[in-house]
Amino acid sequence: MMKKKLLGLILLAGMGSLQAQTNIKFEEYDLDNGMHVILHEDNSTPIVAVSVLYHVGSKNEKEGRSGFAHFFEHLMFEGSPNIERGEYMKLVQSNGGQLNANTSFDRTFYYEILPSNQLELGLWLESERMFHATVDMQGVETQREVVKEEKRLRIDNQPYGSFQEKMFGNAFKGSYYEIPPIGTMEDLNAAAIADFTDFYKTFYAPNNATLSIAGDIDIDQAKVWIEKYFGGIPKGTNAIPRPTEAPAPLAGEVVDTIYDNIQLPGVFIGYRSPKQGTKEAYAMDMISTILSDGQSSRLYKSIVDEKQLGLVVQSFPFTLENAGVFITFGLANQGVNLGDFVNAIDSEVNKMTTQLISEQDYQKIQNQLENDFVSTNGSVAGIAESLANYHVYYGDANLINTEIKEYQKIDREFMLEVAKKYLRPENRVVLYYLPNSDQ
Amino acid sequence: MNRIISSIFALLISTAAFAQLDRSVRPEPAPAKEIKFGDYKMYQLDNGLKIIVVENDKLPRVSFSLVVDRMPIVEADKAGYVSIAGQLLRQGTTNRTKDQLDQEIDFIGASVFTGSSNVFASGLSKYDDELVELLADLALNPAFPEEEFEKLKKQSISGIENAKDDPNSLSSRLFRSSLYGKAHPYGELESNESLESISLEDCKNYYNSYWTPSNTYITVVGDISPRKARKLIKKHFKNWAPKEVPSTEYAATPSYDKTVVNVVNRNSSVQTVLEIGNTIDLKPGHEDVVKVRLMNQILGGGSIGRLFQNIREDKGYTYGAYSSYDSDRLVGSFSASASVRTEVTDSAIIEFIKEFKRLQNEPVSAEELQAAKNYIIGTFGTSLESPQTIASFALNIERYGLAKDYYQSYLKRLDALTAEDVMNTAKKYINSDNLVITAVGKGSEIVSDLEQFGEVRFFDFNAEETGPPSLPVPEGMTAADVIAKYVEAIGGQKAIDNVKDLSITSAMTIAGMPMEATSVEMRKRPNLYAMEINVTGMGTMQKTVFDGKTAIVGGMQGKQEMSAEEMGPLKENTEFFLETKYTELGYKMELIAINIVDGEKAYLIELDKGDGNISSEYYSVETGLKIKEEQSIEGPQGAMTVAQSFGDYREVDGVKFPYSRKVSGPQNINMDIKELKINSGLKKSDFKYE
Repeated sequence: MMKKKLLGLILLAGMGSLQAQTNIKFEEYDLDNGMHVILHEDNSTPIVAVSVLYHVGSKNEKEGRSGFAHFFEHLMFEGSPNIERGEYMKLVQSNGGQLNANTSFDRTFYYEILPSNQLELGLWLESERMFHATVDMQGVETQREVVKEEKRLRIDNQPYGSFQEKMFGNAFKGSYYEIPPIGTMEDLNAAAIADFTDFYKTFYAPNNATLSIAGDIDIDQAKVWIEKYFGGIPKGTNAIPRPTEAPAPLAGEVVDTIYDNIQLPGVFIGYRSPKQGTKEAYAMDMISTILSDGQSSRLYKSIVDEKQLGLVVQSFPFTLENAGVFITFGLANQGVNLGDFVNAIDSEVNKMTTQLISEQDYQKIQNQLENDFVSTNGSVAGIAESLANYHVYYGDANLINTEIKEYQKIDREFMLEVAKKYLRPENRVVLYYLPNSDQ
Repeated sequence: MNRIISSIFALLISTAAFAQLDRSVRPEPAPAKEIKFGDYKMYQLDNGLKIIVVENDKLPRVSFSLVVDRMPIVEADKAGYVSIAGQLLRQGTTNRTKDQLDQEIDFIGASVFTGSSNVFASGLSKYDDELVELLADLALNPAFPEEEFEKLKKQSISGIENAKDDPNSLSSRLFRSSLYGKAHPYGELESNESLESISLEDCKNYYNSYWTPSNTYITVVGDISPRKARKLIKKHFKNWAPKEVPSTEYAATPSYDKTVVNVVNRNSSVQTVLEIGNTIDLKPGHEDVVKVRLMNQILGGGSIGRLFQNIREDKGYTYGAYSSYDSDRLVGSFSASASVRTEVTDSAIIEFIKEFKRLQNEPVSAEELQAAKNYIIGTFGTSLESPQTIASFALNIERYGLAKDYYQSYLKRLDALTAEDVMNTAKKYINSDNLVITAVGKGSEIVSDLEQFGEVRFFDFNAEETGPPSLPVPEGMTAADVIAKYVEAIGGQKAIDNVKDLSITSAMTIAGMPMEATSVEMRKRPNLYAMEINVTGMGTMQKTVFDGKTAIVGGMQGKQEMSAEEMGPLKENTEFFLETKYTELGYKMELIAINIVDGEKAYLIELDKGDGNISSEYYSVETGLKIKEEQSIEGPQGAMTVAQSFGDYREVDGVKFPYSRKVSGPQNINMDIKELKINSGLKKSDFKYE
């Protein structure tokens, strides 16, 4: 009774199209050396996020040098002629800031969150990194060990930890997306000083970088400082190799079984899917929302809640610059046959490829996506990163305000079409994880 | 022309500007801005429910967080029921089934969670009315559906199964139970058994006993006016009646007077998950909280901390090393942790403890002190970006009875702290000499290196003690190889063969007996044997002599000849270096595993003497020496194990002997060799019973 009333009210509200608005103002321009600059001013808290996105990731690595882009990111904290080894982090933190970096298949991202009176410090630090970062053997050897520990921590020592290597290895066999950014121990050991100089010259040039700043800044002052510290950094002279050809499609379904130190059997199903930013990719996001976002979602409702076959079932559309893989991950409950479990997942996926979703489901996912969209812009650090991503990947930083409309353009029929096109058995990799004791 | 000139000019300017820039000059900060605190409004309903509102219209969203402020619950053998009760709130109300809840929550794109003492609902602010209505329905009208309860139990059990191989879960369980004790609510562990024994009634009772508006706060954050928030909440919560809440007694947490090392063995581990710490008495709002915050920042806060700088940046042992602390109304904690590669487990612990002691004994430099303060101020400032921070500050002030300006004055109090304060705080809150160290890793590889820190004990997932783990033996290795290695280790066959006679005098300490005792053993090839035990002031307690044909045994009550049957076991004693004769004597040997014996890796050999008794012998992997033997014997209370361990090997005339022997079993006896003579010219006549 209650439920119907509430739902009715909401539907009405939905019809009124009280679309939540985000309006993030920003300025953007290029320096003469090709570096792109994006500035967003928000004076509500005296902090500022300074970030630099280099358009280089593991997909730009040479053969036999997997893990290099990420390893390189670690080295980029080692200092410069003006910053001693180990001082980079200290300079930020002892001035009240936080910093970190991450490396993906497609990009490397560095950021500092500083008290806003330290903006100039942040710019100087990032310009030192871009202009003349120090790379020496001592740094290489220490960070090599640290990176290996990171791999052990996140992958080798974790149950199901090998799934990335197996999933990407199978889904993108023979392509630049085959090995995840962490790389292999073998290749990490092989990386030598000579490799670094070349990589730095090619990819850490201003014309391959986007400086994105958000927070309590004075835009005019910021521009002066940006010119002061970055203006004199020469444009890179090496051509920037950027693979654009799409990885070859799968020749057929790939099935692999992995015995691991686990208690519950698990499965990872990965469908090759469209690259990020395409209409099809937005449709896949929406399919994922229907399948596993929230407790009314189909996979959760059917498998975890009603049939109680699994502890967790989650799908996530993993999109990259040139390709994507739509991964569904599940852990079976104790005593459940993994085959039954996978059949149950498949039956929900099959519904997506054969039936239109209801009007009500369509409205629901629009609301869910809207809520997610609004929530991503909750911090200046998040805004700086989103602006840089939108610019680098899509050439349109304003998507930070408008991307939600891309979802609204996609209708139910298109979702069905896309599901049919990609969610096919011969387009997928299935990884079964079984406890060692079953071997 | 103009164009060319201007572009040349621009070029000159830019190179000139660049040439002028001295990159070695670090920018000075602009004047610091004042950190402003967002405001909050507080209301109280007649039933005692308190409402805290932080309005922030930056984004069109709002959250409602209901918290029941209660003390921890002792769950004992039903560990997990309070958590299940919390999850059950989400599984249906008297107005809505779970299905209906799922649909309605997702339909408005909301996020809703329930826990044992909280309900949270957030979403777009245009749905504020719906969110409060849902919040109230979940908090006030739980239906406790039986079917959903059974599902949650099943999921929890699967969750426990899944945690069994997760090194971080293992570590957190072991550390908590070691630190607080399994009887304390913070040390209680969920297990398959505890989850199985939970009933729906347990969950209902918990809710009915502890949920009352008089202990409840609702904090509202986001795009909503305080008046509207109050109005909405009042509408839905005003009829909730208050009640008295039961009080609880808590078990004392264990106190350690020396450092202990507790280990969970995980053979597949390539890293050891380390946690090191101690309980502390630090209540929220105590004047020391800000001092501990600063002390912890210097030691292990983030990548500027000493632990990170030393253990990751300098040594490369780990991806991250940090420390943390908890202030708590019952009992707080200090802890430091890292996941380190197996081979450097002990080296990492040494560095941790070194850093603790350095902080306790050396004042920090003015520069490091200021850097740590700046970092805290900076993160404090950053945290204020989120309106949720203001709300949580307000909630803490109310919950813990803090001064109204507690957070406003926090930075001022921080600024006043000195290097002396840091040192004193480290001394007061870190127990460097009686730490709890837990390690989850490859036990066989790390155990021998851990002994240096304290007693090492092994535990399972449920923190039950297990004894040390065993390992497979190398491919192709046999018991005979172990014996051959042993012979080599004690000096080699040639040296052994050179021993024609042997006499050993040992001091005996017998547990529970105050008198001093001495034993004298004598042997002469081929098989003469004599043994005598004397107790000071009492004379000969026991004497056995074998002259190659007959054996006579005696003591204070006289002597007698041994029967053939009794002589059986004696035969072993007459052998020189018995271990070298196992094959000759027809004993069957089998190499079973590598075990950890008193922290040392040892080959386990099972020895079948053909008389129905099987004994276990342990030979050190490292030295080849025999370190222990065990035998099961029938005692008055059933089977019991008698063990003899060997240590302090010393070389005499090219042969090594264990100068220390410890017998444990029904009676614990220590025997330490005082004098050992080889080839002293014992005569046949020395083996007569007199």
